[in-house]
Amino acid sequence: MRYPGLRMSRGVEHGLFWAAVVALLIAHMFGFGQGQRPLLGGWVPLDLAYRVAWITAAAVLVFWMTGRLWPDNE
Amino acid sequence: MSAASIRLAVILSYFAIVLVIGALAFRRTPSTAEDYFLGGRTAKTVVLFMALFGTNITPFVLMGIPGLAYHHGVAVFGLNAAIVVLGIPLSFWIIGYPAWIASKRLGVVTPAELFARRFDARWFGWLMFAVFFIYTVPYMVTAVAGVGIAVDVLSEGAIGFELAAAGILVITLAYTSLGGMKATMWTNVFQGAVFLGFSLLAFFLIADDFGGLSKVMQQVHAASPKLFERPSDGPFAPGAWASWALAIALTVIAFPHMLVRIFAAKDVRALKNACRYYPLAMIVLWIPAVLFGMWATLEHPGLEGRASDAVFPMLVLDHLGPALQGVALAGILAAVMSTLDAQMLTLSSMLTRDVLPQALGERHPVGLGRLFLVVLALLTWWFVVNKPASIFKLAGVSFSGYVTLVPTLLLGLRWRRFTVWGATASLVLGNLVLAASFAGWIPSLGLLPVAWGLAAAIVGAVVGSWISPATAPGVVEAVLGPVERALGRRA
Repeated sequence: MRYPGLRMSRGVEHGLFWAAVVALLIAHMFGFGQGQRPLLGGWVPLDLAYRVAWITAAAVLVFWMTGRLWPDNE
Repeated sequence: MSAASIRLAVILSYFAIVLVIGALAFRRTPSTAEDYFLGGRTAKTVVLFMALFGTNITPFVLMGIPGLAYHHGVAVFGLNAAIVVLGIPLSFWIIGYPAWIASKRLGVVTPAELFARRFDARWFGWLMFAVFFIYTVPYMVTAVAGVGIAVDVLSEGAIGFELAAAGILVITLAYTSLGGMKATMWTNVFQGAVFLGFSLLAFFLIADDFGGLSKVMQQVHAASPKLFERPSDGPFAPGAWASWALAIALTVIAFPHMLVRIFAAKDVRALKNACRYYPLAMIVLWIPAVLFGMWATLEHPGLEGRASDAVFPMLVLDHLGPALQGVALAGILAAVMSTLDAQMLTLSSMLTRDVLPQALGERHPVGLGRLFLVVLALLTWWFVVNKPASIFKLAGVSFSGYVTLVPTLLLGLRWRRFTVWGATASLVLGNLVLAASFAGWIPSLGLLPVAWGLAAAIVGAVVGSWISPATAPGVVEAVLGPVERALGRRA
């Protein structure tokens, strides 16, 4: 395992990770209407920008998960 | 050279490359079942990622999503793309990784075989095969129907829907039955490059032909401002939005063809890297798909229902030259074939290993698998020509059905007390409730049928396991022992 002897730390890290997942799932429920506001950069709808930011945050979680939480054992 | 000849030349070149790759794989594939069905478990990062991603991308994305975005606009991206970026890697870690360890240690080739071993009950493999089969065939129908529509539009009616559907099935059948998994994975690398590359290229070229990204988006905003707002009804109402997120995030790990590709991974590094590549690939593919649908409203207003499934090839026809029209078709064909081949191969491997009498399946695994592929292709073609519902609706039924398998997949790999009767109750109850919900026999309370099907499957799994006798410890240990040691739960 990656963290021999650090059971609590591992547990806390898993807890933080899953809390972040829940936060992202909650954020997934929201979105942005464009209304009369201009498109970002002249072409990007606000809701699309919000989703790309959401995906970026999800990508960070995926790197966290694969780098630190997912064991290398086969 | 006429435009039709140029398009045909591009398509024939694409087919020739795919068939050459299939033939090369055939020459390098020994005749053992593990080599034919799993490519000898040698898939490294790039091949595995392209195989997984290619398997995951179908006309649902290239045709169904532009079709849906044509009606509902930018909210379609949030509805479908974002949640998958998190759902797929999480499910690969929680279910795919232990399934891969167990399959490698036990030498099993199919998910049905793995779970039959988990419960020491061969008949459970038949049940799993039945559920996988029921939901894979409509998914295959969406893929082939997508090709039919694209060819019909891009050939301007010269090649009809039925002929195009038959053609794609015959070619996929040819290289899949010859080269098995190795052929499908090698061709998927090429096919993935074709449809990702084309999608990006078309995005910029079509936008440029409209006068630039800013111009086209502002024109759409001025003409159809509602496409920039999230609707509050249908799939966009909060309950439906949440339950569709559940469906699309969980369904992928329950695709049998996806699990089999995970089994083919060479090592854990390849699996992890495949997860890391997903977010970028999803952005590259899905943003163009959604925006194509919105742009099409400018030139083809007033399409209704499933007629909007054709907007992507319509845009290609309007804005790109014949060579790129050929490449567009090749891109759609690539997306279809990279999924269709995996689906065909997986169902055929399950039939020969898990359903047919053992002696027969062991004596002629590859030959019988090839025979089944022919029957499966004929069945798919029959459904396609009988004009199913829209691609998005068919995919919705299929995805919802797969989700009812998730409790069995998860608990079977993570909970020792999970029994064969718990798994059976989960599959039967989950699918009965799902069917009743689709039929409108139970109140939806604002949720989609998939949410009720999943809830019933969870209840069935837990209650069924509690009230039935535990599985023999030795049987459980054979599957879960290596998994728990890898996960660090046991020394």
